[in-house]
Amino acid sequence: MPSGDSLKFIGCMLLLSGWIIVLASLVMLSTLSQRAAFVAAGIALEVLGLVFLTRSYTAAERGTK
Amino acid sequence: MNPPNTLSPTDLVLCILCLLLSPFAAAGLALIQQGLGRSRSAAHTMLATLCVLGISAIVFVLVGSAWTGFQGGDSQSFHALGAQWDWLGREALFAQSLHFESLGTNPAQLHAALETCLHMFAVGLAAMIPLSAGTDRWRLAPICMATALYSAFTYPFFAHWVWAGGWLSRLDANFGGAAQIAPFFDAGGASLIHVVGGLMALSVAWILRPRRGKYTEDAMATAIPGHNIVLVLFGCIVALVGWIALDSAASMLFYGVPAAQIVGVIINAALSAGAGCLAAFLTTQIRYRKPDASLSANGWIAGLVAGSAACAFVSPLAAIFTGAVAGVLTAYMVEMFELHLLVDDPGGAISVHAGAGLWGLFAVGIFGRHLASTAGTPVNAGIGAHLLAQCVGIATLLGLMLPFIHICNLFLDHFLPYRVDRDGDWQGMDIRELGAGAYPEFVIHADEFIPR
Repeated sequence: MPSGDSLKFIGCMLLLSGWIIVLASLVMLSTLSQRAAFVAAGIALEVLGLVFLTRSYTAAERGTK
Repeated sequence: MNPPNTLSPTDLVLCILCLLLSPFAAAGLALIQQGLGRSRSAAHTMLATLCVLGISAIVFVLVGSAWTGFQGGDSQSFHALGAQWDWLGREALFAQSLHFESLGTNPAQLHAALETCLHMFAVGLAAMIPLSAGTDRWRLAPICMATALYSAFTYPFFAHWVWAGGWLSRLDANFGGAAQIAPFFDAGGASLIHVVGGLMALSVAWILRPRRGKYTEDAMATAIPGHNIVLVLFGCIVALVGWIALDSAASMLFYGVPAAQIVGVIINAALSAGAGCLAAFLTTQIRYRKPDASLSANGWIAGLVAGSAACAFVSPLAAIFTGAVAGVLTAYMVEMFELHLLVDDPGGAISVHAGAGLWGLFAVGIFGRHLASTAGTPVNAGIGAHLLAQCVGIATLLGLMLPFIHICNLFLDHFLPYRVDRDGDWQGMDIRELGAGAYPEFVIHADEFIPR
């Protein structure tokens, strides 16, 4: 299991990556359905990043108890 | 760059009246925040609110307004990958772009001044939101610094993208027309005020960690009830007035809504707030067998937040549905953050502002009808194109703004620690930072059960 700081870093990177996928879909794809699929994938990646970021703080909090 | 929407004399009078009433949103929120905190930090919370409003107004007008820009004003943009990326305003620093002597003769100047005035109140409201998550342990000095940083940089970026002709408001023009993607739509500031403020609250709550005594040794949450629920509920009513005013002014200034259509904003805001409150009331009644007053109040505000994304651009039925979902969502999210994620957010700001705000932005894509662009012209796009644009905005809030806000807060916390020391935590912020309590003639019960 990565340490708290690593989880935070991974979480932030996943959030940014998700956003870049969303932007890339706008630039590189042209149809609504293709864009929708990539935007959904980007948001899913952001949710994963949010989970990592949240876990880093939750784990740290449990560790102090 | 689109020219600013022109205001008729009636629109102008109503817009100024709405701007005058806007501070009631901050007043209502302040009452809610201090009522949901402990009595030993009540004066500190109210003073922090005043400091936040003062600093945000000064810093925004002098610095932030230059980055935010105005409709029809100068902006920084670049061409890349076949699109024009308008990413930042380019006005003069220290409000030198505003010339008050020509407001009566120059409509563009008048519009710019009205926009600045609205942003000034909006940034104050947004910067107040994290106070709720940091109640009872966030020191005054870092509050002031975080507010300055937020007003100078964080808010202006997103405000420019949404309300001042930035790339999010021009998605249709840059990426294949309205049939493929509509412009991102947010008539009342659910994204740039509430979601950004709510994400800041999440970041602050993470950094501050929970209040002492909030969680037991085995990480079980204990209840630390708010000290004055009457003020909280009264604050909800006060906030309604300010919310309607802020939503109305923003709709008129940024989406060209005429004065006659403002009655729709009023009706929808009241319906959305009422539905949110009742939904939270029923949810808590079913789950806990008795309605929870503080969660019902949170539901009211969540309804206002979610409804502010669409304002008068949805039907009353859609406003009720949006508010009701926001109320239910808030009741569950508050519990999730407190019990499962160990995030101590005394006022429920993260759930109310970020959670309900994100839902409100998504709901615009589903229910929005006759949506306009920031140029005030109707956007003829299907539900898919609208939903896609709203999802791009939501992805930008989560994927770009949250890491940016969190890194800024971590950086600031490194140099100016956010959290009060152990003694201050026990004494309360009033005694620790102000030297006197909010209620000196009343006996304040100490946490005898918490080990010092």
